[in-house]
Amino acid sequence: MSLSVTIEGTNYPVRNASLDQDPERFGLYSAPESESRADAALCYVRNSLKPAKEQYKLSDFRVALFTHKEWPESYVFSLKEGERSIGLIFSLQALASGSRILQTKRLWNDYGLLALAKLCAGDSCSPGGRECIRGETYEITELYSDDTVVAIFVAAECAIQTGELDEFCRFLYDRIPSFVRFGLFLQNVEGSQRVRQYRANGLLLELAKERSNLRIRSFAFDFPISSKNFLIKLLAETDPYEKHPAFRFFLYYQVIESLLQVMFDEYYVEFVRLASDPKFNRATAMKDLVAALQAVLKENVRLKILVSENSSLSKEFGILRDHCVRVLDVLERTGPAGETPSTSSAKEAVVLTQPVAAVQIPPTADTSHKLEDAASALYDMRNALFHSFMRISSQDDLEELVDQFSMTICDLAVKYTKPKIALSIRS
Amino acid sequence: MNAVSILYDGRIRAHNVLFDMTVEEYLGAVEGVLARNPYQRKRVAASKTVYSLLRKDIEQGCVIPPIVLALANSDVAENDLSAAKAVQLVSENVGELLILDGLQRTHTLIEAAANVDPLVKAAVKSSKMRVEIYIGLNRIGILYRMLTLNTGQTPMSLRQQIEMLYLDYLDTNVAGVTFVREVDEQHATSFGELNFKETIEGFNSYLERNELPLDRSDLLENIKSLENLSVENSQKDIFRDYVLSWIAFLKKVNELCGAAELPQEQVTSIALVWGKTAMQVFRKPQVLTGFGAALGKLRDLRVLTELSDVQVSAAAICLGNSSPEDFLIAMNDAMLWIASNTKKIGNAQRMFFFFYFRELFNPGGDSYLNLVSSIESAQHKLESQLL
Repeated sequence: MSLSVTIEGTNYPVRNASLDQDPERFGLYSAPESESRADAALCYVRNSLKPAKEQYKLSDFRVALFTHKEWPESYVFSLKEGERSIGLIFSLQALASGSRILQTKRLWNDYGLLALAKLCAGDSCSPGGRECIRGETYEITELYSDDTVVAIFVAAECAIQTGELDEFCRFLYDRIPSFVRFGLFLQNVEGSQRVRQYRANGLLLELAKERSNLRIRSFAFDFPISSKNFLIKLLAETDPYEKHPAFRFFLYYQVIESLLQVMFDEYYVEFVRLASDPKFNRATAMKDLVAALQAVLKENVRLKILVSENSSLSKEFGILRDHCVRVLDVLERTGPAGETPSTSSAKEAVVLTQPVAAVQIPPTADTSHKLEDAASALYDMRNALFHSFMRISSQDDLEELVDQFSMTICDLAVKYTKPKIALSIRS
Repeated sequence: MNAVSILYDGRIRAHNVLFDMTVEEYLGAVEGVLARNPYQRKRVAASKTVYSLLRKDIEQGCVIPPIVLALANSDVAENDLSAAKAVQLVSENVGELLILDGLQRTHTLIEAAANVDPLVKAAVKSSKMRVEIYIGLNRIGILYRMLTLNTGQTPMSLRQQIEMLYLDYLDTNVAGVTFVREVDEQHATSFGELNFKETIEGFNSYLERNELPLDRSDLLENIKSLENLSVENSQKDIFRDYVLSWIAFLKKVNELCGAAELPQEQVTSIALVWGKTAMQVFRKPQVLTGFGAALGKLRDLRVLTELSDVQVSAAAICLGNSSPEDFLIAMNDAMLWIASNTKKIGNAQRMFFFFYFRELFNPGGDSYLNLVSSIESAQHKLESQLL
């Protein structure tokens, strides 16, 4: 991406930045490094960080910008993938001259300085720019949009081999569920002006209290390509700007439907494979085979299989279930008199005994039953919303539900277990 | 030099006189002005386009737009300026001339008039030009005119202009106060010393009723602030009152807390301490802007009749039933909360002190004149704003 400044009506792309003779500012130049001269600076950016202790090469690092509208200035996290430390993430505000946050640790200071240098040179995957006065000095926060969070990556630790922007973007997109899970929306095409508020910051708060790392993971190997492509588009281009929670719910449910479609296709393939077996030449056997296929092709059945096969997410699905039950309950109470709720027995079977946020589902033998309830609750929620979303008076409940749904989908994407495809036939 | 037209500007209450003179006469008049031109920004770095083209045009005899000067500190009544008198005033007071608009053109004229070709040099020096001079303009008027003349060109910040406006205060004592400028590479350490830039920012906050740092805004938006200033300033110098109010507050705090320090067991990390002593707590730019904005707000709400009321009420500030150490602990805890939980720490700190001083100087509030209880009130208000 690039940084450009507009001076007296003319747009100048910034191609190079370097520390001025006064090390408290970077000069931004339109000429490439070899041609830049001291008096040709377009403008300057303040630097309050100390000189780096080591000799770093800028080309060994990559910078990405995210939007998060509630990221405190004091939050700085190490980025980890598996056991590897791959970078650092912090608020853009921490690079402003009044901030002392990054100066409290040597590594933070150095990475901050590297990030600042790269942002001044427009060397990130995100756009920036503003109208400037030639020769004036600005804060870096004036060149990029508000609510920006900076992530600096060590290219070698991320297995990024070239300096190409495409490779870096692929790296980011492959891990985008991990970022969105924390409310971090990638700034790839535009800044943060249109991005919606993100309220589910419990995870972030927990990380900050425990002084933990921000762990990211790439998409699970078995996560279908079609679903992955759709989810990337959703997380990068749609969710950040879609304010209506009901619509976001449907979009996330499309991910589920995409996974269910893959299962549908695979069941069909399995059916065809089995049908060619001579034991199914008899009509009754074939009838049983067809019945087995029809059973699994029902959407709610495939959903149950999908959810139960991903038991590592039992906690997340459990919380999602409770959110669904809460909203379904509201719908039931606010529905027109005499109208039979479109909810299934799954809702009646699940009793909400604790506040939603506190519910945890331990991985016990009972888990599979609870996961089935989660699938039913989700399916019922989907049906109810489709027909009755206007009746939901509490937008907060719906927002919380959709936030949890988003987190669950993001977790599913990185921990996905492909469901075993089997048609069980009565013998 | 001839005065060819005299008009009276009723908006800024000064005469605008159009002079006709040669380039040589003009450059002679402004020679000293360029060396001490505090009101103008620095010369724009050589542009390969506009000013080099202008220089060539001047050498070819083009007529440049009138350059605008001001003759400050000359008191002339509305109907009392003749052409001859105007010429005389300017001739006798060239040392008082200020360039309001046209510094870059002036530099270009100097370059053109120094052309190595003697023919070109002579032609440039003898060519005619027009110069408008405001006679009888006070400081507010000077800045107001610079502001409006500057519209559409490279803008100056309000702070730049306020700094220029109050440049005189650097040299004179305001009730024993000495201002320390950053360019002096010194720090305001002793009691009577105030950081000039920070004081100006606090004063701006008073004018703007806004504790946030100055941002680059449309030039014309600043006019309203300057008008507020000029309206108030016609009665008394509010900057002086502002500084005296601040000093009165600091004096009282010093009396109450003296050299008391934050207890050592409270200091988990020196980086997280806002201020170990009361003076350290309050001698920060965020405090000054909060102070200024709060007083401005209290004035707008008519809780304060005059800015100078604070000088009286400050004498009654107390710690209540708390000790100076309690005050320091409470204040540092509040600042620690801000540092840990807010998106923009600096702005949140300023907002905190805005609420703090509103609580402290509001007679209708529960924390009136109480240094300690105002902290809790301010923090509650801040949390409700931010969270």
